[in-house]
Amino acid sequence: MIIGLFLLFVLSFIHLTQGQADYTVSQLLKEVWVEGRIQDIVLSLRLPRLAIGILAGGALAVAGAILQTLTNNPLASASTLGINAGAYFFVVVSMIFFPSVLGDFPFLVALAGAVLSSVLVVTLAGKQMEPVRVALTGMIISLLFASMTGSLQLLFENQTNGLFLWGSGTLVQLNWSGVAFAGPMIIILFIAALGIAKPMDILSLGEDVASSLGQNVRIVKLIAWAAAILLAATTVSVVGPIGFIGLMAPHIVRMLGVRGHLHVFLQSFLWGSVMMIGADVLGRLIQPGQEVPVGAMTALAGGPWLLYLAWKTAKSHTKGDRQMGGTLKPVKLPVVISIVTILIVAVFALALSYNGMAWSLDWMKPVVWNFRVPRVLTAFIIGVMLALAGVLLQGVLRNPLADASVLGVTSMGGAGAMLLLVAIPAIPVQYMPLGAVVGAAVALGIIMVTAWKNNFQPMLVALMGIAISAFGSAATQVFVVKAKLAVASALVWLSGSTYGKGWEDVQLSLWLLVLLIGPAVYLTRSLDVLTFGDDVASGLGLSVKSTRVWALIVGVAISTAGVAIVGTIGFVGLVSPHIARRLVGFRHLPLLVVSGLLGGLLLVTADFVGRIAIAPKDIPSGLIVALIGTPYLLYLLRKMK
Amino acid sequence: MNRYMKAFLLLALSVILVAGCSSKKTEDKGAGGETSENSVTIVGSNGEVTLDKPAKKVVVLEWTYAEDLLALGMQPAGMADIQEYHNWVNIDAELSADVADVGGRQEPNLEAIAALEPDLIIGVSFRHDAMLKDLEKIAPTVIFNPYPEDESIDLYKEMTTTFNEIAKAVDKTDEAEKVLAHLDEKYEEAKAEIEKADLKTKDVILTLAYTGPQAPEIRVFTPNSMASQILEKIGLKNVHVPDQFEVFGSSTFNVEGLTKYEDANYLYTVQEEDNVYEKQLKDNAVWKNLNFVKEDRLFNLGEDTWLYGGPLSAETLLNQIVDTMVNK
Repeated sequence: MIIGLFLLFVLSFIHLTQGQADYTVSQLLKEVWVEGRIQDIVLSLRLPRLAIGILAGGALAVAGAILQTLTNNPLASASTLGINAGAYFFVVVSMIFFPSVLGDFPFLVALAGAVLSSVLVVTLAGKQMEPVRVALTGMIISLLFASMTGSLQLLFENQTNGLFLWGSGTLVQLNWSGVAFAGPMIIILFIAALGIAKPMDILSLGEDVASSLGQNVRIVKLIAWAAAILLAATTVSVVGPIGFIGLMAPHIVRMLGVRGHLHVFLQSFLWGSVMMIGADVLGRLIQPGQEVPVGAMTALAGGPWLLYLAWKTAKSHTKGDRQMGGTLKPVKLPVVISIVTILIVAVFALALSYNGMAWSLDWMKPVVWNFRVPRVLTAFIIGVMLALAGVLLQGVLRNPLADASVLGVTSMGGAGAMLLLVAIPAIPVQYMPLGAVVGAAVALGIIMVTAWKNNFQPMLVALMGIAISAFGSAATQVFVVKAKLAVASALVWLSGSTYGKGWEDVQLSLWLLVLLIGPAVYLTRSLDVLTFGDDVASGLGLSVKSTRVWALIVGVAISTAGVAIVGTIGFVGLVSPHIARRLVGFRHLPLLVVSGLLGGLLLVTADFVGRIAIAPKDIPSGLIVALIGTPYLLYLLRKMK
Repeated sequence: MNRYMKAFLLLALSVILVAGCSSKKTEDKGAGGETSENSVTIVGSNGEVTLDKPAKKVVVLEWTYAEDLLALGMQPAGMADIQEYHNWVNIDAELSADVADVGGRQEPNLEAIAALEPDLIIGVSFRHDAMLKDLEKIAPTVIFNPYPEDESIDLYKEMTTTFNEIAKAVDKTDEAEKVLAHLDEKYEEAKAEIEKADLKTKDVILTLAYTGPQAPEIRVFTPNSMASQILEKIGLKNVHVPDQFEVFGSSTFNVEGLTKYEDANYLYTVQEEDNVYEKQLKDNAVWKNLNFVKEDRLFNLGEDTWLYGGPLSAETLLNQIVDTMVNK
């Protein structure tokens, strides 16, 4: 505790000396006491920034501590549960459509988003609050909100200009109003949290014990949820979404040997503040005179930490097998394939004949032949590829929620591409895929290294993926901020776009598909065996480890190929295998065929909708896929009890 | 391998064949270009572009280049993001109502462009490099880069070079000369007026402000920006010297950063509905006590003075400066 206070003091001091106006420490110390410029600067700019940092860091840490107890889940925090993303989405929406509402009630706007997303996560994750399920649900909710936020930022480029920085959280303050608003809220909520510390001690023994001791579990839980959500929403409305502090601070505190919620809350607040101020100091040391979003700094430090936590959590949850689901009464394969094919033909005909403004049935006309036909074909092939990757990855991880974006491959691919753009600004956008491949390879490498010893336990791999994915998207945000004007094209690429695909893309993607489909088909038999469980599978003479390694490699290769060509399109790989499984059961070969076709159908449809919805403007198909796919996923999550 | 896989591979194979044929077809089309008497060659960031004859129907994918055409007395055939253009750009020349909208600036609608059958497409490097090949399938395409990495090129010089290239492409070099000559005259006039006016100091900084995350962000223009070059031409002195090369011609500051330049005149543009000076900064102690605020040396250039445009925007800018500084 004393160390923490000391650190906070030192960091605060350094924090106050940083700023765009260059003053030496002795100048500051001497003149801050008399009226004048230096006093103005310190009192109206630097002190509020420090104060909001301390408050926000503390609030997030306490919120994290509460959520971790409530969900009995070491991975819980306002950012991993999607609360930050929901609040931020609401802020962006109101900034565009109801600017005056945002100006007057920023907190209520953020709160509405925070409440909505936490209600979603809690209802969808189910009563047991199983850690991995909660984490996955939170992640999918975050993905949903993030993709909607991204599409709005793209469509309203000028209105949301300043939001990129805030999107990763910043402590910039202009006066005391932010502090005056957030301060009392946070302090009251903090006191409330301290008030329920005792009941929470009892609660953490288990609900049955708690109620048998005469505790009103419902009320305690309600207050705890409310406090955590309000704390998170308050900080989002003042400093933007800042991740990882809520995750890390409570852990550090518990690692230091602190027990009992009263002390955990107190110390979490302290260490949350230390981390927040430290991150801000560091950000400004790296780029003096410029704003590096503080949320990005915390994310870069927090990503590896999450990785470590995920590793530890997975070790204590070795039994992670879950039913893949799938119908036991499959529809006859020829029937399914014919129906899907008819649908594909219909959508193709539609997509090739209509451009959003006029119909034309002459598909050989140069305009259509040069632009529309290859674009639709690319969309189809990429859709197929993404769906194939989804089948493989879900098979390996024996987790119906796995796909390339859950593994972190997609977001690391995005981060790699953006890094390339930042490191070499002159590089043409065409080379972004190169960075994507490297990023995806790094993600795969990390998973390989960390999961090797554990025999690729599905649970472990999924958790690693979430950690990597969080890190990747944080890094992407930093790079987006750094790349400034080049941002528009990068954003389009990041949200995934089948725009402007020509015949070269058709050829390239087709070659990749032909190359990779063989190994995928070959692997289906081993994956079928794997569904009986590890023990049975090895009893039947299957090398479980090498099957997982190979399916992982092939799956990641296919999805990386897709990402390299059209950017980060998620959801296709997640949703199509699900639908296929409900149609044809869980045998992998028919599954592969049907989900491939469905993936193609899905992406062609998304591309078509994106093309015509606001013609002549274009909505990136990745965003449409997310909008179509997420409701279905939410429905699935609800059903899988 | 079962029969579904076979069908699948068969389909795949046939598509490869089709694709192979088509790519040859397009190459043939691009190669045939003999130079005739009327041909003009212009230079963009994508190299030399040769047109058989001067372009009549031009599609512009960035506002600045549309403005260049208007300055030459010509309407574009098609243009991207027309609605937003009207919100941000204020110049004397009117954009005709029958200019076709070809979608967003970032992902313009290729089919809409092709439908106009243009003779020339003009794009901007940071948005349209990636789709150059597609655009070239429709018509000869020239791309300009308004933000060269080369520090020796100032952005005013870049603006006039691009303007002249566009003029060449549409065979209006005489008009271009006139426009630029007229602009030079205007500079001289403005310089004389500024000279006459009883300004306390000719030192200035020029800024563009907007609400960033929670607080105003203030872009302070650097000496290599187009707007700053105009200031220098009319006898004002931009005192902002950036720590590093700013490729977009401005540094981003918060209020604290302005203290360095408080003895200069403060020229600014700000969107009326996002007026950070009247909203957020009004009660800020640092802002209130800056010398240029206390001594009332703030000069508002109006919200739709486009600081990144062509010669017409340049003229709007200099008129605004003279209006506010001399006639205040």
